[in-house]
Amino acid sequence: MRSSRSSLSDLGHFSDPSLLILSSLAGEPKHGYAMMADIEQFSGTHLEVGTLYGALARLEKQGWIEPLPMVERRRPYRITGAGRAVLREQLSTMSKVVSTGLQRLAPA
Amino acid sequence: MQQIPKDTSPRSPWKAWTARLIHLYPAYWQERYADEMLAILEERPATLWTFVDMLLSLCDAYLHGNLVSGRVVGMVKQFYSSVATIFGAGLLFCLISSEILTFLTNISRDIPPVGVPTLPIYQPLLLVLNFLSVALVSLVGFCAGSLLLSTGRRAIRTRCMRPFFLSLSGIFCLAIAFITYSLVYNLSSRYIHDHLDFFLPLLLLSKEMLFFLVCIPSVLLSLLLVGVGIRALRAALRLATPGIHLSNLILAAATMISTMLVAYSGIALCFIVYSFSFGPFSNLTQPGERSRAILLLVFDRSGSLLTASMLLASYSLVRAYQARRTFKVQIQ
Repeated sequence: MRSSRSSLSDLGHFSDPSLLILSSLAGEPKHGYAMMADIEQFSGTHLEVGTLYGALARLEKQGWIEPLPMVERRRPYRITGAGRAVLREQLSTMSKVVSTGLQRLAPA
Repeated sequence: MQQIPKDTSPRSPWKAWTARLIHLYPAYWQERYADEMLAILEERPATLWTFVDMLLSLCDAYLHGNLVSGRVVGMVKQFYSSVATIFGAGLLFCLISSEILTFLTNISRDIPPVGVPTLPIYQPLLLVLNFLSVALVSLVGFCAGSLLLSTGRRAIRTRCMRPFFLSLSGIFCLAIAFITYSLVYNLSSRYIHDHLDFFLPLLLLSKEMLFFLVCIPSVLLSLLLVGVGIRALRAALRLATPGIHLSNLILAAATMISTMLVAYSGIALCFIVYSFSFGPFSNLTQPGERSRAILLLVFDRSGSLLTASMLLASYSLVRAYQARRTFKVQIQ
């Protein structure tokens, strides 16, 4: 079932990397390399450069992240208000899924 | 922002191949992300999967052309750069045209009076060779001007001199190749040949010896240099001006050549009109003689030039229309 509002699932196979990127940027603005290192640290997922920039281009187009001025060939990105709302919605949905799954797994 | 340690592992071949792939991305994508992607690649180890992932991302960039928000800005820049290039070429043509007139004057002076109007088109081969040599110089000049300007500007902005030196070396190679070529085939090298006549006896050489000993190896070398020069110019162009496409340069070159052809044809037609009004052809009174002379002059000589110039001008117009249409679609 698809929601009428734009959500991360609209990004197709880039939705998972996009969720990781938004989660990484929720703390502070980061450039590409710092994002990759952060994502690897908190999720164990190794993002490659192509996937990272494919997802970044989509997130930027949706207005969920915005670029900051470049510093020494590195451009930091910042999550926007819309990006925070989408991330919050996605995480709460995932949280419901997680809690429901855990409840059902628990012995009766 | 946290400091990230650099990749100190030995440089893998995948890193170089992946970096090359970045240069194959669409121009607007390169303009927006290439620097960042290259910076990350320099700092992280690359594997086969990095290469495959980049290859998939490259396909994705071409399939989803509207992804990059800066595309419209890129197109505007591209449009303005094309216009600037064409106007630059036109300005250069104005400067070069005085040189063409000098060639025409020199040629007409050498032609003995034969009872027909002393048109430059009566030595068509020499004129075509001279015209081609001027066109080549103009092309190199127009490429050099726009490219050196943009590479120089970018070199100052990014503090990276590589594109600037690349373009300089490319133009240098083309210039050497042209001089070598003109030495052998006497392409508008009256000045060079005058000096050769003076210096060759001093060096105990004849022109034939010079031809076999120097010119043939020089031409072979110059062909090699042309290849190197074109390659260097292309690389410099890609590095310095991702917004300028080869098609725009071809459009500008075609515009410039067609302008030169139209100008030359105009001069030739003026000579024809003059010769029929005041010159020897004014003695032709019979209608048949006059029409045959007109046909001979217009269709046999300048007619071919006019046809060629009209074809080139049409091509330029079509390309300009296509570029404008694409630009408008992108803006909408």
